[in-house]
Amino acid sequence: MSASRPRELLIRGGTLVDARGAAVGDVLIREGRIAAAGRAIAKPPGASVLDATGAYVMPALVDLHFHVRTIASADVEDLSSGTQAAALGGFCWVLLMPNTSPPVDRVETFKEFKRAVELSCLIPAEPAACISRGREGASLAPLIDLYEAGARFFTDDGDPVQDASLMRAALELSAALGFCVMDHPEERSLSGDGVAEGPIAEAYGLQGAPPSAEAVMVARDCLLAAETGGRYHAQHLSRPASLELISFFRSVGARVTCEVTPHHLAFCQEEMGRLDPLYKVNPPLAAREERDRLRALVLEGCADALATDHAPHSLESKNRLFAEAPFGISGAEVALSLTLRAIEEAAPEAPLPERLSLAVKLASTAPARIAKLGNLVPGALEEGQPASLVVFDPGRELEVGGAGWRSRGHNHPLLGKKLKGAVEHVVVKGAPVVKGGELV
Amino acid sequence: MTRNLVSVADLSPDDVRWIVNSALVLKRDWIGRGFKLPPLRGKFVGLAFFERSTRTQLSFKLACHNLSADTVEFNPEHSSMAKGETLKDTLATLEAAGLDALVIRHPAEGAAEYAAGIVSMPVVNAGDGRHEHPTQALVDVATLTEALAGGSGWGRGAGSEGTEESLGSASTDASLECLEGLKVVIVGDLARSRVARSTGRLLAKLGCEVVLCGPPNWLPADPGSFGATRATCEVDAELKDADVVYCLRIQHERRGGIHCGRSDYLSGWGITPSRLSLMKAGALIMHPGPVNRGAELSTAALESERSLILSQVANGVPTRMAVMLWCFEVGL
Repeated sequence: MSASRPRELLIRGGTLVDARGAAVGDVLIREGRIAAAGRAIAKPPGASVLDATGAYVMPALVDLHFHVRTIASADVEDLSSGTQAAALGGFCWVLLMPNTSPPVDRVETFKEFKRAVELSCLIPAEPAACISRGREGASLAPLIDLYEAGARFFTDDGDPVQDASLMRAALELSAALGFCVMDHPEERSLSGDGVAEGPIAEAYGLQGAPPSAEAVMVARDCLLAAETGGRYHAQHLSRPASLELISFFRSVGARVTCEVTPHHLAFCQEEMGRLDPLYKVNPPLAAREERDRLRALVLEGCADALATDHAPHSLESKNRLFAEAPFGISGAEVALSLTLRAIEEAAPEAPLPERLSLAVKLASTAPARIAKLGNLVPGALEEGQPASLVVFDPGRELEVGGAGWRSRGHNHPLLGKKLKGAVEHVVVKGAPVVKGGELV
Repeated sequence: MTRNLVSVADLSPDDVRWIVNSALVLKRDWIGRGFKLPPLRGKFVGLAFFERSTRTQLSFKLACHNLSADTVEFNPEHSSMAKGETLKDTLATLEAAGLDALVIRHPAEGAAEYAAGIVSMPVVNAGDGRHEHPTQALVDVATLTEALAGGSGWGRGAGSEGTEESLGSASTDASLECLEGLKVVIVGDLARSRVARSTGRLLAKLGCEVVLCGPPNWLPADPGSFGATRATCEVDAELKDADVVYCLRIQHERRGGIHCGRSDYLSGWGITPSRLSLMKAGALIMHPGPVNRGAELSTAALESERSLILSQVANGVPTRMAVMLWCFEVGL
């Protein structure tokens, strides 16, 4: 991290929001930690000032699900462009998925990835490692060796672990060593033609995925976690049935958590209109009624975390026949504003600070707990907490894929459209990385 | 605006009327007379069939040749697509090479719509996966109109009128009103049928009541996407007051769905002699072909007076001639 770190930094004039609620106030940062938070803090001599008038000051965001395409630097999304996009989106930490080219299924690759992260990432980041060799689902990757090399998260994301005994073996090791096993739950014999059941599937004669295409594997994984005592995290859940299963297994004491994405909360299949590859994502966007039930469950607290599943692709590769186009949405830069839009649509009566507080809980507090980031992310805006903060202006509009866009993927359903709400400043452990909506 | 025929939704009732009239006039006055018509001379039509087809490809080829257009057959297996060229680049190449129109069949749903977004020449959908087959729907409407509009001069076996004045008057001649209020029961493998989606929607647009009928796991969740008012398993009850029974081919080759034995299907859903006798007087039987004889239809049904199946085949070429004229905005 190259950003200079002033001795003291005062964020002045905003409203402080954390998972507990909101209050008008300032934040004084000293040596990477919050030195004071509250009304009318006097500016110490020599301190720098960030203006937050009319804006909200919140814990910086944590993303459990982020894709870069390569460890090396390249013209596809790499560690540098990817983490710049994440920082602009208000994130202070991302978990890098291991389905890179090559995949992170060996100790040497993992170590190389770790070194590249130190060199190239604008914000702290950590690579996950594969569950199976080559992500082929046939045999376990060297999980113990990878764990000893520092890997704490394992997933074959992009593909599910189809073989239940392989998943069980990974969870048994998880119970012994304490790492987290993540899965992309998708029963391929049910998952159809790249769309969910719904009007677009009907209109085009496509086989749409039913909720069970996701939920049967969530159920399987939860059962395996419960019986092994392993630590399980379900990735990018898109269906109400899946969230209900997680809630059930959580209630009986299984060590299970889950994430939902901004796009599954924001969009529904009806909005595609036609077979539009920019809306092609895996799991597919559910029909409106399903999406509304998903939103309701998230508002009730059934989902632990929000994760972007930031999946950049070139427009060239996306702008193909729907059946041939790759899955994914490149959304880290607008994840917060898109989520807030979805929450507002689901709960229009809730005041903005309340909606922001829910977003903080989902996109910062809960994922920071899952990733054990107590030294990086403040659990609350109070004295002594690490000073990784975001200042969010709910009034400013941002064009998706516009001039300031840093991701090399412009693949977003709202490409060229404006979204309300923009990240103004981002501070990571006291050091500003984004100021006035631009990288420092 | 380029005229594309990607979906039956692209057609206004006037377009349908024009195409059906033209098809029937062409059939009556020109087919089998031993010479070609000149209107598309100098036009090159690409036939890009990414999925096997004999009948549809042949009928498009004959339709183009009958109108003096040249056809260029594009075989994806022997093209640069085998070297990894994308569909987008292939389509752009075909257009740059000087084609004037493209007829496309592709296994992926939405492929014709996608192609129409890439090229600026007219695109005709010759079948895209399980989505649509709009020229088959036009063939079906032409066949039904021909069978029902007895008095308009080009009913079954017509062709006695002189050829001198008939072409000019053709476009005002026919009426699709004979289709209004008809009850059409589409029976069979609906889940995998692009024909039913196109024919059902087109018939509904022209005022027919469309009902879907078949084994429960072959019925769509949304009958409306087939233009239908409802979907039911009760085939016997629906046949009794049907004006048209449209049988679909069991598509063993298409992915999805549950296989059903030939004789099981016939006894459960096929048109057996006893079901044939349930049908009301004058009710007609259609099938897009090729028929799985003894599955969708018994031999008795196939060869009965009610069957329009051979007329559907005979109307394939003239209807596609009319579609090509419509795309190029050329009158008869």
